[in-house]
Amino acid sequence: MPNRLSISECIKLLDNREIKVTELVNAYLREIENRDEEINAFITVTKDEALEKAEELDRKGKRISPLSGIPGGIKDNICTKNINTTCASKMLKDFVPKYSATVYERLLDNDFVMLGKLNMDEFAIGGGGEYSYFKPVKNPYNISHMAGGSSSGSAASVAAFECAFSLGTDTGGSILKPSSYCGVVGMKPTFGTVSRYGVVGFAPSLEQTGPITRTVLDNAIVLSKIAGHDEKDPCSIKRDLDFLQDIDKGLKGLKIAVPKELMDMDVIQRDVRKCYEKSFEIFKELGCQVDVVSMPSLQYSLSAYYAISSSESASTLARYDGIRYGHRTKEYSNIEELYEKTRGEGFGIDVKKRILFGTFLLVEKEKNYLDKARKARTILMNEYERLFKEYSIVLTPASPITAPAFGEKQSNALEKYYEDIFTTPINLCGIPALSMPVCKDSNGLPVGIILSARHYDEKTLYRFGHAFEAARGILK
Amino acid sequence: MKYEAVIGLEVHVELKTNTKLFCGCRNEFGKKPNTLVCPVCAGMPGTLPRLNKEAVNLAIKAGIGLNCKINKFSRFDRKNYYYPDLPKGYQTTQYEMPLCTDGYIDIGGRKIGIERIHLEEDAGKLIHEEDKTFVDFNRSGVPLIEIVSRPDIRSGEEAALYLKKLRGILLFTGVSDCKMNEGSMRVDVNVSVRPKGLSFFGAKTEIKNINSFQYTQEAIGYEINRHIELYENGKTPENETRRYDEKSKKTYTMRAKEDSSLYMYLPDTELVPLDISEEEIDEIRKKMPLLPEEREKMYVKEHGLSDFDCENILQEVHFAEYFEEAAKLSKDAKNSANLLITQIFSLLESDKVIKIKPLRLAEVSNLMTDEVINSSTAKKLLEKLWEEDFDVENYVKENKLFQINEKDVLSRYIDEAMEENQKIVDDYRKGKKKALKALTGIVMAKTRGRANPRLLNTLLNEKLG
Repeated sequence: MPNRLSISECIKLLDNREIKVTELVNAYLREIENRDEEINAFITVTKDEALEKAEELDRKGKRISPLSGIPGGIKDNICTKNINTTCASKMLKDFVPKYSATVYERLLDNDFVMLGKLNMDEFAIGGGGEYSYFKPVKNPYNISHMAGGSSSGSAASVAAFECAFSLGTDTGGSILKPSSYCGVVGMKPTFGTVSRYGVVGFAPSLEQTGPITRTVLDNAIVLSKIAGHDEKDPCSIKRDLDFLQDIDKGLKGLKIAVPKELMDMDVIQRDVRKCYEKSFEIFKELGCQVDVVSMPSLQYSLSAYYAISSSESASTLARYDGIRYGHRTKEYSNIEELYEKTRGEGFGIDVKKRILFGTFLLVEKEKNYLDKARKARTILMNEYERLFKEYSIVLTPASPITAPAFGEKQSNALEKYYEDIFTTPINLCGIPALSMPVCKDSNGLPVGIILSARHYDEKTLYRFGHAFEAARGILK
Repeated sequence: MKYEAVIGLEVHVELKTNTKLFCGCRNEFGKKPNTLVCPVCAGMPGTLPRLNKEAVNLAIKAGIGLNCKINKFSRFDRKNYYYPDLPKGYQTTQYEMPLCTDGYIDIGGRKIGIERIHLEEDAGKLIHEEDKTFVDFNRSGVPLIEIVSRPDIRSGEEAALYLKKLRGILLFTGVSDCKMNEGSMRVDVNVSVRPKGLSFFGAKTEIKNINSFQYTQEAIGYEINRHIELYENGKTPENETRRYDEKSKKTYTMRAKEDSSLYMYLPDTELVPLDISEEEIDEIRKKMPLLPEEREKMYVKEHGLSDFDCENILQEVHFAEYFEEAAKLSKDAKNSANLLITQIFSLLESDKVIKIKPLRLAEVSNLMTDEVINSSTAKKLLEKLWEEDFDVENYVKENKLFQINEKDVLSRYIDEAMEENQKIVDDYRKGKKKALKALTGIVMAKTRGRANPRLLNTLLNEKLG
């Protein structure tokens, strides 16, 4: 089954002509056909285009890039010219962009094979994958559980062997969390590393696009090809793009910081804590020093994140007004009614909540919620900076819990927000982070950890991840 | 009671850039609707703005021309509101940290403060047809600066003066073409009235989108009187937005003033803050063209021009450049200025293009200075030059248009005229002084307009005795 191979294994086979691109692509398409009806990872499968591209590559023979002939899927908020880009929303269910996101163009330039568009929480808002307008994404390890979100389809498709890799987007853990729930490797790169042009976001100060793969090495290979400066994105940066240079160097003598404040939290499930602590042992065996440190400002990150992301979303999502594209209500008697009904019908509940909350924060100026959030963000950044002077990485669980089951009662919305306690500080500070599985909980669901590093230091994350993966062995 | 008006102006000006503020679409007026639109300025999902450096530089130029402090660090914000011509649902503008602050315009001895100049994008335009409304996004994303004055203006006349000066500076720095009829310059006025000598502010009305400087002056005048009348009758004006009706010359309520705190503003994090170096500002400062005021000084000092001359010539950049070019080639630049203003400007069509080369104006002017031709010949020559270009000296030679400066030649013409018009001569001698003018005209006609007017006058007087 060639779709069970890692990208690095595929590259060898393709280079040696031991496998045709068509065979590889067909294996993935078969898996999608067999499995996706229950996983719901895809919104659009571009089967014909994929086969056509595969045949073209086989005819051509020459591989121009490591990604040549490698089949991948794209989160459905990344614009793909002439292919539906729905953001899993009724608002854009028939939207076909006439332009492509830079990140998608980069993949095309590398001759990757496009398999289709991946399901997600509507407009990348939501954390479970259940807020897709079309269908909920299910966890390949147990379909009665969620895949996590918002890049739900991106994580689930890779875990289910429906894609060799996928692209997700991350605003407050939207790559890191579903990767951990689905037992795959997800990278949220440093802010500004991957162009955001053509990526439909909601909170521009927090967002990044990144790869999801089954191995750490694969992840580094994909990131190397999608990262890089793009003049279409004002926040895009010129930086070192060699993510693989340290990957085999081992971890002897490197220092890991473990924030005490997060360790002490009682929302962390017992199995998660156990796996987390197990990861300390693995790292220690690899020659690392694990120190418990204090990051007192971490407690503010959730509030700061929700204030900033909600206010930005209230503004960013204003363009969906039914005037130029997307859903427009059928009957209206004046412009206000056109807006109200269009937006009322077009957006789902979680998006509306976020917009309402953000609007409240922007209109309620007396309390200065946003100023406080921005201050917390700065303080948090300073705390990270101080830590990274001494430590190579900060290690946390990926989520306090493993993938929740559908229909599981959550006592309140705040509790759900707590799932993002470990990921939100990362987006607030724009630092890179890698999510990867450690082991499985008693229900057989994967438990993940998050490694974060200083700005521009993805290569160190890959170094830690690669060594950890080898030491951990097969997920148990 | 004596009252004092407190007036502030908010002027929006479209920048004369090649492309829009955040995308590569051309910045042009009057094109077919929705032909200058791309995914970025149409607010399509996932698109991002890319700042046009040319617009920033023009805004800095405006700031320098208006004596502002150029802030090295400024930022873009979003002003959120829903309107069909606003594709993103927010206008990208500078709210908290504008590019330029604390400037002034000197309106003849009094300085009117400028609080701020900020960069922002224009919205599209609604087109109403019968029961349908269409949106044209050609203007969406066109760069604007908003120039906000301090409430230092005291009358409609001062407001008009301020606007005239402002327009001149923006024209001569190449910041904008300031065409009010095309909407590239738009004026909003804030008016309040208070008892003279006190420092608080009265109730404020805003008059939006006034079409000309003249109307601005009239609208302010009307509004001041309206406020005073209300106060005199024990009433207070509403805080509201009004419009000026040019026909009735009155202002009318448009809507209650929206509370600016209800707008949702937040930093636009899709854009990085503007970080401008001292060197960049110096570079622009060095390349600043001469402003109207500096040019006026030069015209008066070097060429002896009057205020009237200066005002006329400094109406348009190309007038000034034309004059300066002609002046360089003229023996008497003041005479060239006279010809430009009295003769050439009367030939202008609505496009205001001068169809005569500056060199030709100088040639005509110089022949006058040298008393080779007289002013009526000069006028004829300029009219002819408007149609086609030719070498003036050759033309004058070939067509024998020389001024008649010879006493005996002119005398012969005069004698002839007096003989043929005995009645007029008699009239004059009976004391009807107006008859002199008639005889002058007759002689001029006989000479095909070539008589030296001074000599003719002397000789006629002698002969009529």
